[in-house]
Amino acid sequence: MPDAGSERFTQLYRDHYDRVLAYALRRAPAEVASEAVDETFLIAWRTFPDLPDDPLPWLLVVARNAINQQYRRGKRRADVILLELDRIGTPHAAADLSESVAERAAVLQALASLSDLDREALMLSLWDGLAASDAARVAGCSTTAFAVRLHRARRRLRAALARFDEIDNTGPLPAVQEVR
Amino acid sequence: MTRTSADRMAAQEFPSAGELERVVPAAVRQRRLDAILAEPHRPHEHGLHEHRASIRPVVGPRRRLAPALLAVAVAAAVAIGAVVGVQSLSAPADPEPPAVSPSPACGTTHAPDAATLLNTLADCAAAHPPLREARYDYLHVRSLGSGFFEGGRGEELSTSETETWTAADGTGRTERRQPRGSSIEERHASELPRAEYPADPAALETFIRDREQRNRSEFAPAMEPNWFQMVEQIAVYSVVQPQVQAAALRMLATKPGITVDGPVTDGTGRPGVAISIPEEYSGGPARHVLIIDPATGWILGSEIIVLEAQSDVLLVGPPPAVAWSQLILGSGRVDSPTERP
Repeated sequence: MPDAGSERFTQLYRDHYDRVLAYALRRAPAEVASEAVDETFLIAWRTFPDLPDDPLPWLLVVARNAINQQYRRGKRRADVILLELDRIGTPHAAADLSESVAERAAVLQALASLSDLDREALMLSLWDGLAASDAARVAGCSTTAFAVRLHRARRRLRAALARFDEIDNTGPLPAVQEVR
Repeated sequence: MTRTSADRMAAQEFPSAGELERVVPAAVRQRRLDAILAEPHRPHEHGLHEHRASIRPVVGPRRRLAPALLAVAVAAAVAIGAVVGVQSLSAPADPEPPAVSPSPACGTTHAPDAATLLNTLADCAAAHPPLREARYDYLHVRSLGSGFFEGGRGEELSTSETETWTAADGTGRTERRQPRGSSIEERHASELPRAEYPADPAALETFIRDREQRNRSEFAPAMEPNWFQMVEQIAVYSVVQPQVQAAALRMLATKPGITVDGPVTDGTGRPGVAISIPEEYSGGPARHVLIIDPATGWILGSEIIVLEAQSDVLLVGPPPAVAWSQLILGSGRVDSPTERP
């Protein structure tokens, strides 16, 4: 018969597993990411119930450090955005790409061209779906600093997308208009 | 329809839900959850803080700064068996004068084996007085690596400097100076409590072994801790008392496979003595080097020296050459998050 703590942890695990795994897979190859997520929830269990009321930022910080620990143990690094680009092809390299794939490739290529800080700010905000205060905590900076970082990153993403849209013969998606 | 660049990025879900399921299928998740729940649940036992400290957010970059000089010096020292006595260098972690006269052996860079050298260096470290009580641990680290300071892609070697002030509860401040710009970040109380390492070699070994065991996933293979790396991490992430530094060196002295590489000069011109172990770096042969101040027993820095050219590894020169390293430029205890020792 599971105790109340186990039941609550099971709920936490089911509620957050996908988001922690997605966070890890955006930053590390599958093998590294998967193991880091295992470590994250093991640590969470050992810490439970002393977790924040909203445990997601805490879990993501632990996952990030678990990934770094694995790299220090010699796991090979890889840029997973570039790997994904390789998988789907680049917009100007494959003329027969479907429109949706071309758009995906353009976004990923623009993202890959940004600095690490820009990329991290955008991913935390747009893909991890964190509010600025939570994203700041995961990024290890103040909310204000994160907001500034994100603003600059969005500006550079816009410029990068514009560049890749010009390169891409298929052009951006129809009816897409950038808001300046 | 009007969409911003952020809208366009947000619409490109990565990874997809299908990818999440492919990487860790539902049945595997359940098995892993069952395994976790079978683990002891000890939130209030001694050691939690130390455990959490070990997974703390990266305060400074883990890629290290490497003086090109060192690889050459190490190679030269190994090649010609050079033995050069090195004289006093101020201890980076202790601005106060020693209360006890250091051993006459302090300053030597020569020993018949690593154990003898490390025990001598431990005596030198132990001769220093305790650090003063103060609110913040201060560390200043200069690093060089292939662009991973912020989780990046490694397209170039670059340097970074990080200064951190960390209180016992993990609050503090971080200043970073990187090629892409500088930043100052306030850190909140979270996963950064200071570790309190034992000052006895056997107790320290047990402490680290237990911590590593707790850190290890149920699904990761059991392995002996990398003691060389453990001692390096104590120096790079912590401000420790002289007796703890001495214990770390004495503990390392009991471990096999360590080579004395002899006298070296680090990237700031500080004289040191190098010890190393064989290492694998991105699948190729390398050596992991610790540079220790022979006069004080404090660790000055560390490096990975790659021995053979690899297509995906950036080096400071032709191999054998440094792939990454870091130098501890300053360390001590201070009263405010803007003060430097």
